[in-house]
Amino acid sequence: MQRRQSLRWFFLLLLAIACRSPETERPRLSRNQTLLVNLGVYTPGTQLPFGEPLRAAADLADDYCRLHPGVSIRFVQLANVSGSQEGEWLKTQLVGGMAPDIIAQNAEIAWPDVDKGWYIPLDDYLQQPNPYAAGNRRWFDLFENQALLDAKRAADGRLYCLSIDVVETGIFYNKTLFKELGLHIPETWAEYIRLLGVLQQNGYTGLTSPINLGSDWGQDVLFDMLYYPIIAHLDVEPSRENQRQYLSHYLTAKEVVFLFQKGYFTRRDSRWAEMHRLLKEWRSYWGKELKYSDTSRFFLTRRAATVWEGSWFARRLFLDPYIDFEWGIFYLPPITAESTPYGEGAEASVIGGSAVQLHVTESARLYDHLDTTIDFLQFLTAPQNFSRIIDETLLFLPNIRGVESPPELNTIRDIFTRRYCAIKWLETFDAKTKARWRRMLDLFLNDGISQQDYLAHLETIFSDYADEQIAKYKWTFDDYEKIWRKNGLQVE
Amino acid sequence: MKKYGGKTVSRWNRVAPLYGLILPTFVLLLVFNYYPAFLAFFRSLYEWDVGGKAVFVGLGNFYELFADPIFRKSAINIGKLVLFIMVVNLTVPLLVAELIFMIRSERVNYALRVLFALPMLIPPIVIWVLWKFIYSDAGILTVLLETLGKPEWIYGWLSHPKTALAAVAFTGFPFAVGFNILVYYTGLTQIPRSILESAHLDGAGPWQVFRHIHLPLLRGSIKLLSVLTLIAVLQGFESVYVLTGDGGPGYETIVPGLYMFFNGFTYNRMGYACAIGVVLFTVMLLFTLVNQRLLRCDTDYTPEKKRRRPALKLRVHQPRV
Amino acid sequence: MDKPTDRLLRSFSYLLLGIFLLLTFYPLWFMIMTSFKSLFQFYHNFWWPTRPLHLDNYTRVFKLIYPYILNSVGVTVVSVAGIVFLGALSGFVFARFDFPGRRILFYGIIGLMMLPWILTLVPAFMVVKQLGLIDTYWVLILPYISGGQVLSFYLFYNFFESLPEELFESARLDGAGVFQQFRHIGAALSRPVIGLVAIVSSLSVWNNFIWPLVTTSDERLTVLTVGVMRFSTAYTSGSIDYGQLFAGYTIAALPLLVLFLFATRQFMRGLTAGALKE
Repeated sequence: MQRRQSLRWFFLLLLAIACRSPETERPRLSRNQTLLVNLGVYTPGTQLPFGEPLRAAADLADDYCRLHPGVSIRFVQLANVSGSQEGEWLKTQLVGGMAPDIIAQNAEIAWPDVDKGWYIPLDDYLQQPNPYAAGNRRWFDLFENQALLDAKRAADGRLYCLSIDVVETGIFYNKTLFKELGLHIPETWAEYIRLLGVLQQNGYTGLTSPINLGSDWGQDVLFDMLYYPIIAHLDVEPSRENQRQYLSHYLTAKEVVFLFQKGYFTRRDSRWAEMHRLLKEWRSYWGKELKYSDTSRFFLTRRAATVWEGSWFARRLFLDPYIDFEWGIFYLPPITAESTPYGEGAEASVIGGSAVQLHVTESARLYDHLDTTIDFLQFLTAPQNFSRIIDETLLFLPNIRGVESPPELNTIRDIFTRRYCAIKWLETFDAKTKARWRRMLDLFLNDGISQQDYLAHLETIFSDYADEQIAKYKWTFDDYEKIWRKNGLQVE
Repeated sequence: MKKYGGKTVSRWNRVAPLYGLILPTFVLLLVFNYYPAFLAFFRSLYEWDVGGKAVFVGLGNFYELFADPIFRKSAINIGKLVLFIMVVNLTVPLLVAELIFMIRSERVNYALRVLFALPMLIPPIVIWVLWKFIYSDAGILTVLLETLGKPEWIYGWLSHPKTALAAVAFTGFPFAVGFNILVYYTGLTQIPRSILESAHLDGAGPWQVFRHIHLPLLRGSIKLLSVLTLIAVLQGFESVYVLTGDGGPGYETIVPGLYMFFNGFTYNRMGYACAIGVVLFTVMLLFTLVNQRLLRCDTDYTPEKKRRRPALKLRVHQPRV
Repeated sequence: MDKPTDRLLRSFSYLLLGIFLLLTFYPLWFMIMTSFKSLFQFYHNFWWPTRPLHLDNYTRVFKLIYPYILNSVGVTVVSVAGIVFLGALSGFVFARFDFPGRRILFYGIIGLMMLPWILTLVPAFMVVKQLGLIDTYWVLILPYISGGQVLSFYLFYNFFESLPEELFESARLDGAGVFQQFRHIGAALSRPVIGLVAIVSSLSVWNNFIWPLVTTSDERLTVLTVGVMRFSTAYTSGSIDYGQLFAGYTIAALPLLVLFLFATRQFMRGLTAGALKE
């Protein structure tokens, strides 16, 4: 009886806690004076696996609020950034006009929704000076790789996000193991495949990666190396001036559709078939599981000899006290004629780009503080401020002029001086096309269908995509046709 | 028909308090369940992009759905999963419940039931994450086969078209579902002692007791559990989502729930997603009704029980909120 | 009893039960074992416990999530109380009385069990938004009660339906109203079902993730499932801190464990004491 009595009190107490309305407890700040900000990985409170929760951005926000009395900034963590649970959350928030004012997400996720007015185009603001950066005349010029920004333009040509940093990848390898087996960093693709063979014979997995290798990085790099010799002819859309150093001859979705209609990327395109043969051959040396990212353990327990990882992985390895081998980073060697008739020794391009892409949402306008939101972004991207964020995380390279990259990431920085790949295949298309393609590719790489069947599936997927896009955006190809005739290329 | 209180009480006065007592239930249901459900049914007739415009297409979504090879594949996959999970999730817990029931010591018996029920507290995500580790290239399954000298048996379990669906289905191992065990056990305790004792006096062995007494009298529990399991499996997709991500390779592990999820939140086709939901709903309803007919039974072995009201015995399970 | 075959059978059944327990408990053991590992220990030594134990996983996580625990406990207690009360009440009315529309209303409730939850996710979100419930405790509590009472109703209905009419006859003759009958006879007898409903609905309320994720963004309303997910969000591969993540899950399971142990005793005792028999 006694126990039941006390239990009743306990429940009543809980009831009281649960029923207390947050409004009555503390008057809630009107959102008009409060910016809600998500900065992706840079959001204060993010618990990187090592060290204290991040706080640089919170300190910056405090500084900002001191400069601008009356403004307050609240940071919002988004759950599970890579999964679509976040997409679900954001979507409901955007529908309801309740999203944070600034959110970090991949531009590709925002693209299908830009015509709904959920995001604010930033082009006009980027033409204005950034008052927080000394001597800056045009905010846009503050970004080191402007092509990284331009690459994220939506289909309507406008820019809805800022690419504030750079992420780059490399092949992390077990130096100790290489030494034991007498292996050297390969100079050509054929050497590389032989090296993978030696590793396999000795019971090691040649390559693993947390990224689905076939559908993502692997495919893009192979494509780039095989098509590089003719890419200048394929690229029928003149590159913008600022794309020269980094994104020259980058293929857009529209170009792909045009080329597809010319017979490229079909079974008639023997280069395309050759690329897939090489991909399948390469795949036989990868880990068997393509879908799961237990790859760090695979590499760290010395069972996989190399792992293709991003710049962030270096930080992790540096800090790991249990690693019992030496490691290094190399990059894929060029494909020569020894491997395929189309191999002309083109240097492997980089896989990378911007990591955190900051979007301004409709909320900023709805709550009547768009100018403050933009101003805060300018404050954040001023070199003296942004360097504090970059140095704290040690994950990515800065894309802001005047911000030094951390010395730990030097090797990665060197790789990034290479040319960017000519296309990020899967990022080029909408979510549905991407999903269809990746499914078929997974099936192909896991012996579910033959190469012929796979390429046939791809043709269907491309032609569906082409029909949809042409119907939706009324694409015409007259300009392309003119350049094409001048180039005089035929599919072989 | 019935006499409630005195004869003088008018029909309305008798019935009004009943309605009053069920009113809060129905107000809540109306606002949070019926209306959204109605909206969903309604929207299945539209080509509806969340936040964008909705265009009426009549039964267009349904025609498309039945011609959709991906949906057909998902139906086949879920069929296989349902069959497998129904069998193991209904038999293994029965075995465990019987084993527990055999134990005479009250204390051990109680402790065992609590222990088997405890894993219900583990968040499912922990179990799936664990299985992802088991299936990975560095995982125990692979290492085990390597040690046994059978490297040719190693697959990328979740990536290979031959093994992916089986790998998903097997994550329930060892299938001793706590809730099911408790339901079976409750069913067993409800069997009147007298029947068991007379069987014992007749010299029936454990198998005969199980076959001729337990099994027929447990039919109610079996019926309940089969409907619960079916409904949970039919609309579940989180396990596939966590394990293979997109229901791949190809469409080897796609299930209707996941396909619906993708249509709604990735492909921006909420109307089509609603149509899939409507089809799922219909299938569950049909199964429940069929199950009702097929397994019709009378577990009514308590002689003094009097049925006065029409028996409404639809055994179904509530979806997650 | 004393026959050797019996003894053999019994030891065999103990063995079998032991194996089942071992396998069933492995995930729990794995969760707890991992919760004491640092990130680096986890990646280098996966299958076995490691030293030193990282108790700091718990202190760190607890500091981050204890407001979420309070929220979750509050929401769960209120929701489950509502689910039990409304489910029992309407289950009682439907099981013991006849009234116009009973059949159709009954199927109206039961039919809801078959709606896939994701079907109503977006429409339900729009409804609560129209009602202005977003970012309040009510947006968590009311829909939980509404959805949860369906199963609760069903279990209570079955239970009350199985009670013999004699139990109620004398009360009726004494002129007891519907609610009195419910309170003094129905509620008094239904402790085992209350235990069952409390456990089942606590589990689903406590573990719900997507609904609180989409309907609450206010930090002060964040519940455990969302909170744990937030602080453990991994941006970089190979660096998910499973130690802290699982420490969070372990902490999250503790209040449930307390309730479970308490309610199970009620539930099981009720069963063995014969409340459901005869």
